Amino acid sequence: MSSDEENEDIPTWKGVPATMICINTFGSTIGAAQVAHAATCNMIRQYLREASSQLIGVCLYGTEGSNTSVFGIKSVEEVFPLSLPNLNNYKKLQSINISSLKQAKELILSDVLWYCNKAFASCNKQLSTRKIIILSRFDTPPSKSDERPTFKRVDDLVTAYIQIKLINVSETEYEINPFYKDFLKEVNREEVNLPKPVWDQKEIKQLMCEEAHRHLAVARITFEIGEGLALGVGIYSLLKSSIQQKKSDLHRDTNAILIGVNKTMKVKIDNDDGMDVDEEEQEPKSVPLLKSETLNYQTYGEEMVEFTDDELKLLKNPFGPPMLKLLGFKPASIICKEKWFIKPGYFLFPIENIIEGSTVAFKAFHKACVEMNKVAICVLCTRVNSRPCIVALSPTTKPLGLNVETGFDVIRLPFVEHVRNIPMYEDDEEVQITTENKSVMKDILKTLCFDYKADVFENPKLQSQYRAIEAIALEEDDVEPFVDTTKPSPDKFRIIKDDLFQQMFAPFGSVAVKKFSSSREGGPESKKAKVEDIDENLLRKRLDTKKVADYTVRQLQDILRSKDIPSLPALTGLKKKDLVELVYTHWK
Amino acid sequence: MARSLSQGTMIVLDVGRNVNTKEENEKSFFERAKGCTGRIIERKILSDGKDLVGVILLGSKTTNNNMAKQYDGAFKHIEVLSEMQTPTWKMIRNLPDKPSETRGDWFDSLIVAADYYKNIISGVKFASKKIILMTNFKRKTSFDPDNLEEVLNGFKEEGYEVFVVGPDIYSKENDSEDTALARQFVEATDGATSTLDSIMKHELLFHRKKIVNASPWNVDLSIGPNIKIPVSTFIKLRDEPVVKTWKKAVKDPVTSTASTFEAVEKRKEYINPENQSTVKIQDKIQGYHYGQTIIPFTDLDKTMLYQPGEKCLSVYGFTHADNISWQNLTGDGLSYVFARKGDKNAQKAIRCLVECLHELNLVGIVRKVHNNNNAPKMFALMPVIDTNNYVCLSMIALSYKEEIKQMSFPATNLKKYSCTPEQVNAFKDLINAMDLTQAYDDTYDDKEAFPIAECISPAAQYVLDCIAFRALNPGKPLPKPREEVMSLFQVPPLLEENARKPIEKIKSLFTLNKVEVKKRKNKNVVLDIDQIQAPLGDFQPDTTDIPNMPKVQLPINENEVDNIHKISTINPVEDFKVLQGKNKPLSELAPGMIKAIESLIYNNIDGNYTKALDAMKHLRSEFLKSDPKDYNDWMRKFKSDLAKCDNNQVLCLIMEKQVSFILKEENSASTYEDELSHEDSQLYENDTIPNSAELTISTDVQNMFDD
Repeated sequence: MSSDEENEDIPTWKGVPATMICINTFGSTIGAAQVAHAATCNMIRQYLREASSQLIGVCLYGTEGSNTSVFGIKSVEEVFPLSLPNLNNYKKLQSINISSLKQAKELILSDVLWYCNKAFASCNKQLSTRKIIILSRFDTPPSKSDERPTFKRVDDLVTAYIQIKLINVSETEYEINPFYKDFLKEVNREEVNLPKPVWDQKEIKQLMCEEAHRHLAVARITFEIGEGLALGVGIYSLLKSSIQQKKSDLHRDTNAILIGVNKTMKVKIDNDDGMDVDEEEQEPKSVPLLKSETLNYQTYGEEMVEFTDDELKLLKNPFGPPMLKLLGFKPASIICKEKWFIKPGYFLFPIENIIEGSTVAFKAFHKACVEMNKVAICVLCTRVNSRPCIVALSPTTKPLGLNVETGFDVIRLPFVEHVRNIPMYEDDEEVQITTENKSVMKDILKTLCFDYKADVFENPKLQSQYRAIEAIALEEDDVEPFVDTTKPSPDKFRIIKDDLFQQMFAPFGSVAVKKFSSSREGGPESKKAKVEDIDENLLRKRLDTKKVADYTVRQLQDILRSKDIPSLPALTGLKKKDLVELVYTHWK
Repeated sequence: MARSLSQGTMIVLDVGRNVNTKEENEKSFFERAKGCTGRIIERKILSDGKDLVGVILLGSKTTNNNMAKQYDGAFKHIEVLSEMQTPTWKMIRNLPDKPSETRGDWFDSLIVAADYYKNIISGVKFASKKIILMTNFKRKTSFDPDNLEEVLNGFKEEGYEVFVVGPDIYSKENDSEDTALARQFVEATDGATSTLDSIMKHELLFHRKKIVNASPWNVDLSIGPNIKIPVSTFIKLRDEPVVKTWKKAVKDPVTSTASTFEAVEKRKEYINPENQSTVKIQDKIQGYHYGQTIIPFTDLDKTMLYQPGEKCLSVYGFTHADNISWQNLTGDGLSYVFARKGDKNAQKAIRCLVECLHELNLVGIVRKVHNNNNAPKMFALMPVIDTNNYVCLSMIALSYKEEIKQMSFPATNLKKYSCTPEQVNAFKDLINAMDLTQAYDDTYDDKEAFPIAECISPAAQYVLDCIAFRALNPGKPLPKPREEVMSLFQVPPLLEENARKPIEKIKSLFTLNKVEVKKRKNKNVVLDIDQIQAPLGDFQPDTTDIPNMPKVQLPINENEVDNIHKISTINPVEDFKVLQGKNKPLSELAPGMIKAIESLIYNNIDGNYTKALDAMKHLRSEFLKSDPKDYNDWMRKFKSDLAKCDNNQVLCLIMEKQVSFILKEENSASTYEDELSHEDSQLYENDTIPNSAELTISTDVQNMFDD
């Protein structure tokens, strides 16, 4: 079976990711807990909008036992157990008033970890990843007697491949308690950097939504640098291709969810123009078409050129398995966006579980490219069925503001067939631009300057749709106000000197718009120019001998267009017979 | 929409006796010229343009041309084989298989071709009129050079371009009256010449790109409410598929080609799962998911949605060019923005804008609504001064916030990942050694390898090659990519040589260990093993491995192979024999053999069960000699296990290779009268639907259409 090849290296991730969110309400962290609560609401809201299939559970810890405690764990209050994000849970979470909660006498961190462990264990769905997010300030350690049990729990969780992520919710920098340093070390089984404090709700939400990169790789392949020298790399797409709110088809009357079925049928072609209208009529005309019965074809040279499904697969990529291979280096300056952007690229990051030691070599490679200001030119084929393309690897840090120190932009370079010819602009005379012109223009540019960031613009169509749906779903009026981020505030333009600009450059559009002149490569050309294409004598001759039909359809159209005929119908849809008629009518 | 003019190409192919002689590279001139003609037509077909092509045979047995009709006895042995038309595969197939016994005058053939343009296809206006003459000039023309001037003038007036493909007409060794004459034609008509080899190796090596007519999108570029500059945008780069969308046809079971009496019809139906009824499109509304809730959204609610407004290209602001990174860009390709043609003031304004952006290192950010009420998109407008001397703005789409995936990557600034300056320098040496701008020596036109936007896509070439191959060789299996296509992404030899030393250096400085991931078994089989519950107790599949956990493969002890003490899956029959030679009894060997057989079958990934079946055959023959009970017991269990995991293929093979139960007639100790003596109904059923596995359609097939 040919599909085995695909399965070989890429581990398949079955099941859904599950996340337990634990908010610390103990001690001085009450303010932080409120922020964490708001951010969690925000996160759930986002997951609702996306109809996410991730499982989320939320609990509060460091509370005095109450009746919502489960598994007999006192200091943990369950808001809702691991479940798909839904409206009820959201409302439950929203209604919690953090400040009214009764605090526990001492912080027992092992309890919440034990709770999470049980929550994952009692979940009856297959989970792909299990993650615990702890939202807290990290200045108060758990009670002395709880330290050892906590480390024991951490060890159990890590052994079971459960990730633990700490989010440091604080307005200011402070000394993180040494206990949490040890805790982090235990969690990651190695020295890691301490989490930086965050206070902005949106930032916290973003940290919570961050998905571990390794499950999202487009491809995990070896980067072949030379003979016998390769690194393990992951290829990531940092952008989603298109975002649409999840939709289903419903029945108008009952709101029942409908199932869309694509049917591929084979039908008899009526060659006999309804000659036998007897019992054949009753026979069903279409029957389901089997895959083995289909052929794929292209029409070239007046023939159908046919391929089977398997052959079509082979056509896609006959060049072998996915790969990234170094071809050489070029100066970074030749890769300019404004000339060569063809498609969104990828992001390249080292991974250790194909080739151990890749990260170190990757970093050295990165550094060498940065210092020499070079880009690496490679051939990339991400999947078995994808076309190989030539890419440039350009060293980068913090792409799209993400927290990544090392990596490469994978820039797709266009092939010759991607380039279109643009009709040549032949300006009759060079336009003269004075320094005055420039100073007016530069004034405008400077006035309208702003600091662009990757997340400045929100898709207004999507955002307004989210809000419209949310208004119906939550049955409340306090829908987030909608701001169209794609439109600048009109105030910005009030101060530009457009009158000066008008004086200098306007009026526009007063000159008759001429058509573009035909370029040699086949740019658009004027239809009127066709007059001389037609041999008048021949036309006369054919008119006289009633042989206009000898012309091709195109020639006939050209002939008709060459004469300014008022109310001439659109010629493209007409049959030859009609065109011939038209010629005879208009050339009498 | 105005159309471009087509090009006319008349190929004059010499098929006379004079081109029959085999040349140094074993193929005759005729064979090579025919190949070249075929390739020219093939390229024209696949470029899907409007060019017209005709073929004239020179030295043909038959005479068929307009000039011969007018001038009795002249212009003999010149045949218009294919009228000038949109090129077809038939034209290639119609080319003669072997040269004729006669010869024709090449000069006459040029006149015939010229006459064809002038008198036969005179109604068509061409952008160019090419005449390609393919001959080796081995038959002298009888033309009187005194009239040459007149003929050449005629050719020039009509705009014919004469191309001569054959011997090098400028080389001394080929110098003759005929080649001198040919040279005059080429020079006077602004044509060209090439040898057959050269044209096949260079000009015709790859398929041409399709020509797409540029058409402008006209809009006003607005800055604030009062400034509106008329501009036109043209698509400059776009990734388009090589071929149009594949169409589907029904395979005729007899001819294996597309059926002429059956067609494919695709339709989408909506089914209400509650009562399995089909729902009409007009009774269908859309609902949006909000968490687990689905909110029906009727047309009425649409008033709540965003109104993008009118078609526009309005400036949001300007920002520093460095703020735009490659990762911000999205969409398909880029467009160039020019001032509207003919508007002097607009040209001045745009030019001024481009220059100022360039000087201040700024780019514009604009909101674009392509047509009234299309969803708005944000674009970057960057100043560009193109190699073609275009001074304009380049327009590329920017991503929205929602499109950014929030990904986290592990930290790499840890101590254990730090690298030494020596290691960095090793890579710098590699960079110096592999400079693609100096990839070729002076014998090449261009020193640079892989020039951007000038490289040819190997995938596109292969697809077109295959279409041409299939059209001309129906029914034959598709070829592998040509060497020329494969070479499109190979490291230039010079750099490969240069890189050798730095690569070795890098290898010595870094410890890179390949992590051997154990091959994952076919998913279905793995599942099946779970169900089997280890038939013989000690059979241990790999399911206990956590898939993502790296496994380091330990080197196999070589000696073990010589000193066999258990039956391996590598060569079970041999192992069995060796061990038997060591006087091991069958009862002791059988479990090992069975284990090997089962392992070979359950862990099989290539569908080839020969080894397992051979082993079974051997084992069966051994049992046949003694007591068949153990074999039959195992076979019964094994078959039922196979049936449980629907492995019909193996079940069928067992019957086919006659390795099933040992029957009473073979060995009287057997309790099996016939094959079905101990059957239960389930197995019976399985045996009656052989090969049903082949009918199931792989889901992989569907993935193909994703691209």
